Amino acid sequence: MLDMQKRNHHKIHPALLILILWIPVLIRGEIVIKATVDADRLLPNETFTYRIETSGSDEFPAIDISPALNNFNLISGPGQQTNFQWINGKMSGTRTLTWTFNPKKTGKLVFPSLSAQIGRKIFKTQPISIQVADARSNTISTGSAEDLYLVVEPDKKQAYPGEQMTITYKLYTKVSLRGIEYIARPKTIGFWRDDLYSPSQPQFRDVTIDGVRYKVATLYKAALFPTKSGQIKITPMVVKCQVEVKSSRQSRRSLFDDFFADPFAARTITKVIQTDTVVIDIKSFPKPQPQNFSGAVGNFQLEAKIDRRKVKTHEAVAFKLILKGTGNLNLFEFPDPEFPTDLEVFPPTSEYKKDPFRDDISGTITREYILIPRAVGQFDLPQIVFPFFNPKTRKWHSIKTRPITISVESNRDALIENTNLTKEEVTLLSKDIRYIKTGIPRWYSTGRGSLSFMIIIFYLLAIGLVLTPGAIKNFNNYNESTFGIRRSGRALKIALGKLDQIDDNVHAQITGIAYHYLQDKLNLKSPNLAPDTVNTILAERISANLLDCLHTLLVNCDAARYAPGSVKHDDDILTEARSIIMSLDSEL
Amino acid sequence: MKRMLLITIVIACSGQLAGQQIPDSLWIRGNQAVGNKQYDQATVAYEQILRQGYEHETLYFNLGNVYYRSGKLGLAIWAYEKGLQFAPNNTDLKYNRDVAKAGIKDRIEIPEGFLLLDLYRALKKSFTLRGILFASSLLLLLAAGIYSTQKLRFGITPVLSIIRNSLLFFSILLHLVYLDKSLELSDRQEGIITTAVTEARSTPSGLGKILFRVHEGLKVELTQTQDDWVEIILLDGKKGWVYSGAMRTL
Repeated sequence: MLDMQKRNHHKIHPALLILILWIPVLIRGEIVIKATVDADRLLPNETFTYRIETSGSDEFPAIDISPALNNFNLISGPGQQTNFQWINGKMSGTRTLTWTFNPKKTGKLVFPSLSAQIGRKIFKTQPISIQVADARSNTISTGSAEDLYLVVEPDKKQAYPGEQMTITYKLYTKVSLRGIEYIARPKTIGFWRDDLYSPSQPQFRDVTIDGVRYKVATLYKAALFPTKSGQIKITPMVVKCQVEVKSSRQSRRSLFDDFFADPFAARTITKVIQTDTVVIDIKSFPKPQPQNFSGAVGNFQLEAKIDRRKVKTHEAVAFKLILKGTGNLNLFEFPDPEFPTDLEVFPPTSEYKKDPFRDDISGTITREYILIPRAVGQFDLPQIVFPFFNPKTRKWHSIKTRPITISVESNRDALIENTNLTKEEVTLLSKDIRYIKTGIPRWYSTGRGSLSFMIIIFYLLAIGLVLTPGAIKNFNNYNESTFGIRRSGRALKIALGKLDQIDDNVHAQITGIAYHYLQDKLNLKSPNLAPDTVNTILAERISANLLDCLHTLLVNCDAARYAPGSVKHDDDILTEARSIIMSLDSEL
Repeated sequence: MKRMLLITIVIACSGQLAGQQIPDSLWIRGNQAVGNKQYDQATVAYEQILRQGYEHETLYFNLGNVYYRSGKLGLAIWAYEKGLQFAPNNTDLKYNRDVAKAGIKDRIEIPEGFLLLDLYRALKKSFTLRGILFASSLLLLLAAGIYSTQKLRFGITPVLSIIRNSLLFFSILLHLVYLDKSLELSDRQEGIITTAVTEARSTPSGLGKILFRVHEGLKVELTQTQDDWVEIILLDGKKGWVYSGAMRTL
């Protein structure tokens, strides 16, 4: 058995073997490369197939199609196809590559020569010229251009940054469509985009335009929010449609077709249609712009809510800020309140709820803060001011929450209680210059010197004080030095005055006055004078006659003191004493 | 003749009164304008007082505030600095000046000096000439008082002598400080840059090479002027010529 099998294995027909061995030789003739297109006259939205046929090669050529992309959009490809043919006992093989293109421009275009590489050889294809007619000229008809078109409808051509604009893409058709394929979605650089409607299967409805019935479907609808000002372009949307065209060629109907094909058999052609580029002019906001404007554009309401107003320390309170409205809701920063420092604030949770089924983007942003008061007292939760721009009224608006006060009581259960509640440092919340002063100042005149009246007085006083002791000393010295002179100068006057005042005990007084006079006049220190001592003192100073008279007078007076009523009469002795003293004075 | 004299006196007195009244009314007007946030009008009123030859630290304080509010940081700093010349220890002036200075661009590192010298400079800076002279004359007066009482009454006790001599010593020292400060003030002028940015050039003309740029609010020392150009020295020693309209001298 085993032997039999072995033998069978070896029994391959020699002719077949020869054939198999010869296949490559038969096929490999001269390599020929041919490039063709299926249409060289086109409308701008039509496609054509570019085909490269290679014969005499047992592999597909490597083709670089990049030179063609300048003038043509590649829609699909490459597709591969291999054919073997026996012609007159000769086998030939062709390998075909196909691409589908769509022209980018109108006019006479050239599909350039492409290079194809097979093995190590490089072949060049022929360039092919393609005539693309203007859509309006409508010279070539594979179904009218108006049979099928795509329209872009922006709801406004001008908008403010952040203002919602809606852009709608609609497909109008008179012919029936087999399928729609998106080639390029519009690029909306410079906008924030929110898709409103983007069906996987477009819904067609009937519409009549200028008496012509069309079917229309919305392919795509989006809300756009400009993010900057200036001119912003929206690139076109490109769509490839499979269009059914009623076949007019009835002649080729074969026997088999009767059974399997529709008698009004239609063929399908591919059309590429696109919209225009849309340019939107984005205006700048009117001035002045509010200071804390965060970019909100639309119409909004803001509300602040708190779950309870009386709490104990270390218990949580939920503070909610609810912003409702229509506009660029999640495109701006939500105002961030500044809470009192004794409230511990946890990072807020934010929730954005979009209202469904509305073309104007609207919804609610809820931001919830969990606050935990750490101290006892009344706390004013911050009022939140939220400025926004309303593009409908073209005005700035500002909404404010109402003030909320919560009162916090001491929590006895809590162990960690802040004990020194009454005293705490004043914390600086923000920095600004101190306010002006309004009291009327005592003006200085410009350029005044540094000397003031007070200073001058100080200097004068100081000088005075330094000089005073010296001055006083000098004065005293002078007084002392002139004392004798002044004493002797006054002596006569005093003596005569005293003499005039004598009324009783004349003699005793006269001696006293005379001695006193002499003491004053001569600056005598010793108070004890007697007639003899007077003689010795005055001996050299006055005439002997006068000395004699004085001596007699003094002796007489002494005598009269001890023996009253004798000697002379009072008046006489007074005149005598006066004359003696006067002559003494003139002589001394 | 008597009548003429009377009229002259009346005119002189009324002139005196009017002269006093105008700065007061301007002052009140300026303050009201600040209340109404009409900072331009307030600036005009305050500057008018200065032009009439009156000044006061409070005037410079308010003027600085209105300049600050109108966004003229350089002029605000100028006014605060000017006010500090009259009241070097006024905390409000210092505070507002520091707030204004926080907004200026140029930060110049002051080269560190000898500690005692810095201390002395700070001391010198924190008193006005008048204040120093007042203190020194007062000390001198006290010393003189002690001296004369000693001479006249108590005789020379050592304790009193020590007090007297130290008073005299400090008075002399303060007089020297006064002399130093007044010399410094007489030959050293300072200014504040009041335009947003200005170029310091190598020559006193617009053709000179740009050496460096200074920004609004910077305090610079002025060394000489030529036509419309002023030579400035920065605290770190850089020198250059600046258009005089770009600054206000202190």
